Amino acid sequence: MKVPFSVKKIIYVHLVEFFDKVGQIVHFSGRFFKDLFTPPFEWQEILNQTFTLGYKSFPLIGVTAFIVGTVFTMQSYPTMASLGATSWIPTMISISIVREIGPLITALIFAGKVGSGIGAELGSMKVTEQIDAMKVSGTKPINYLVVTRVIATSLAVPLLVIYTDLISFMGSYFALSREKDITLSLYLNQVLNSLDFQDVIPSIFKSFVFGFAIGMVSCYQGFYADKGTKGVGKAANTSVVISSFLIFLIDLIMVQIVNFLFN
Amino acid sequence: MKDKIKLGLFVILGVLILILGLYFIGARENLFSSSLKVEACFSNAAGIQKGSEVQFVGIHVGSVEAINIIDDSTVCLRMRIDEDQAKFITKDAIAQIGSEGLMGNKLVNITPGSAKSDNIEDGDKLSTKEPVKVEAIMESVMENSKNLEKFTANLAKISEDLLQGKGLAGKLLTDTTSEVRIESIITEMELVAGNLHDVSRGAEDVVDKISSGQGTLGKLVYDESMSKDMDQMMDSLNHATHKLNLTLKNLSEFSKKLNEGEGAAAMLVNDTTMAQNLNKTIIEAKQRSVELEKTIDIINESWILNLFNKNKNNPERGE
Repeated sequence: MKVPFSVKKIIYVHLVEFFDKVGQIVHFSGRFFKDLFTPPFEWQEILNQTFTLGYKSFPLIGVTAFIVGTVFTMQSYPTMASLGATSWIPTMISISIVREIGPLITALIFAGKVGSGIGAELGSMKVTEQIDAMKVSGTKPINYLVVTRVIATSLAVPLLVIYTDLISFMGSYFALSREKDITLSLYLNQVLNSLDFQDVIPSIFKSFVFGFAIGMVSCYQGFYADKGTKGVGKAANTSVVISSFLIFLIDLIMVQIVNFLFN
Repeated sequence: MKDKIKLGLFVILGVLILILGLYFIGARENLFSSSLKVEACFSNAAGIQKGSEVQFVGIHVGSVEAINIIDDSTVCLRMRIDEDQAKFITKDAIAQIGSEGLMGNKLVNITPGSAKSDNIEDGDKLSTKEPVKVEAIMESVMENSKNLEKFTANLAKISEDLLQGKGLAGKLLTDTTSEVRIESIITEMELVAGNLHDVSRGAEDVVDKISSGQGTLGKLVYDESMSKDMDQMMDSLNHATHKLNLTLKNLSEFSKKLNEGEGAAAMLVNDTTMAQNLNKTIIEAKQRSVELEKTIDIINESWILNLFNKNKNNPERGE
């Protein structure tokens, strides 16, 4: 029986596709950075996108953050209690949430909600040739569609991470106060005492990079979506998958950079 | 417009929370308050990092600003101390590296100095006390555990010997014949104890009698008239002693005079010619007394005188 496609051919095709994608992304990023500093600056659209992508994501991320804080405390309490170290829970919660869980959870939810939205929106605009129409009408689509969204996501994620951290602390206090007699002021004091600049600043910077990556990937996927409704779905789906993968990859790289810089 | 207000609130609130968080962290490291910089040098500053906490009597007063290695055995820590808290720290305060609890982060703990000393000033260098090294504690624990190991091994050997009936203690435990001896020893001991009990009761009676003033000892202790007699006796004794002293003194003076040759007695003792003359006189006196006796005998035997003494041999006359 003859195999229709040889393994070599499959690898070759995928490699070509991969490098083609890499080339397109580099080209797209180049256009983004070029148009970022090129007028017209779409301030109004940046505000609109920040509101749509950031503010409107707040309820979902807030609820998730509260649940994460509560569950994290409830899960760790029995182990810490068996070690007689329940007084260390605020310290443990604050460091783990600020350094890792807060940015990661926020970025993943943001990628799921916003990344797919951007991919689908731009994809459908591509399919319905609205982007081409913009070009014809003299509006720069990269400026109007991509730069605004990427700036919005880059600003929204750090802001959302700050809220996530705070709400997670509240959730953690809610769970801890059910098990242990602790005042809110003592809890917040212990949380803040255990934090340092090298915990907060890299976390905010990391969130900014997460937001930028989600925006860029989603815009790219939408901007270069395949024709047809299938292409729109694929763009939305791929935006989420690649963004989520990139979040973990960036996280890994950022940990190395932070450790190199601060330790 | 409404959306813009919401967005504005969302952004401003988020930034405000971030600023507040950073402010609290900075305030903990005394970045926003006026502070003094003091230095403390240690031979070992293991676990101390830039930003480590500085405590005074267990209360946060500052943070470690810089760590400088001076030489291979000296590490100096520059600390930022809150100016408000610095007024409680004196120049002779001692800095020591400690930790927050058993597993906590390392920190610098300042213990208070004397109240007479002046307060610390910017650039002062605090004296230090070296931290207790965990390695030293572990070494001590290891040595103790080794000793404990030896002790338990010896204990095991002793218990084994006991079980095998070795030694006196072993025999006591295992030898059945020794039971009889032990029983007899116990019986003897009971007897001794009984005797001791009797003795103690006797002693108790004596003490009771003395306490109640019975007997000579009791009277001596409790009878006031006897004590008065005793006092008088003591006075008499004192008086007699005084007189004896005077007599001895006189005797001493007499012997002194005798030695010095004063008076007839001294001449008798010290003058040899006089002694010879006296001796001669005594010899002559002796001779004269013999002659006198002879003369008396002659007289007695002479018949003339016997005529006048007719009743000489008549016992009835009662001479």
